[in-house]
Amino acid sequence: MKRKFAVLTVLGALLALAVPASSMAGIYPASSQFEIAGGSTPPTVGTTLGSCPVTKVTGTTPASPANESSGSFPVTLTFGTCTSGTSITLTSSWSLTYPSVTNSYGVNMQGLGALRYSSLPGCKLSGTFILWGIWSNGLVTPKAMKSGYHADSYNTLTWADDGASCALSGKKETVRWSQQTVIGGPSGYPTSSQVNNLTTPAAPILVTP
Amino acid sequence: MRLRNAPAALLVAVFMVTAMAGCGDGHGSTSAQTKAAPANEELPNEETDGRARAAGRRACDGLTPIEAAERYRRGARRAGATKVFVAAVAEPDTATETSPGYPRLVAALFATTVSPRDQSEAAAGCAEELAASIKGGGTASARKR
Repeated sequence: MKRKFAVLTVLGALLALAVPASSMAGIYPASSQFEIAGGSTPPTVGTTLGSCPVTKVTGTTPASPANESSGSFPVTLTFGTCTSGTSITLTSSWSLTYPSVTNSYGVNMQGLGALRYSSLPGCKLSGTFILWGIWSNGLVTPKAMKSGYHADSYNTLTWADDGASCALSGKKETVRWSQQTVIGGPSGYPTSSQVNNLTTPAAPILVTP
Repeated sequence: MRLRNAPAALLVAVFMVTAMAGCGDGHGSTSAQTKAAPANEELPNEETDGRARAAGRRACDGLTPIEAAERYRRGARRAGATKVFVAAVAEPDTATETSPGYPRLVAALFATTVSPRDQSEAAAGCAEELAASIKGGGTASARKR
């Protein structure tokens, strides 16, 4: 009996070593339509010259068994009213990658796009937007709680001529993806958006690192 | 374990569920399309735009682009402009400073110091003055008088 137990233990350990770490990551439940609802303080993407809020992100988690490993899937971003004179154009499909970094609760959304400002005609800020955020898993027991999402990252885009000579053409600009009560001010605190499972409302959308 | 104050606990639970239900913004298109920004406080009108543009001209009247950049850099930083952006405008490299678009860039820096609703027109007014100062034909305001 003891020998059988020892053999099983060794076999279990070998199995654990053989399973790649990435197969532990995933997003659940599979095949679930969800939305990241911006709420009263939605995440915003922008620069010194202006920003645009993302009021909703929608997508469908991958079908089983693809959802049981790290990966990415298409999402759609819906923008609210940008700050005066600011416009944003998305020029490719966008995707959400989970987790964004191994062994983390981060996810990132990325795709091509451009920001334009009427205070700076002749210039556009374009390239690959990489918007990282933290996924806060909800619960089923002991209390039902939905998952949350908090935006917090920087990446750089490149200025380019846009119908005229842009003085910053070729230069990089930091684009902020943030979610807090005071934008650009000296004080504020972070907020988050609720993640709604539209397929099975009672089941939170979970990201495992 | 029994709750001592069940009605109060029930009220708290109802409040939490209501709060968690969320109140989605509901604005915007239903797909990832271009989203242009209208003036979101009030609709612009000719009078308002005219005043903003005139204010922009006055703010940059008689200044060269580099002088205007230096004058408004602190105000821009106080308004939340990043250090890097301000430096790119106020301490430009040769390519930036000699670009035909440099007056517009400086005007955009100045515009960060005014209210969002007026930024476009204020920038346009300032850019007119700065461009005129480069051409050496006097300021745009002086020619209009």
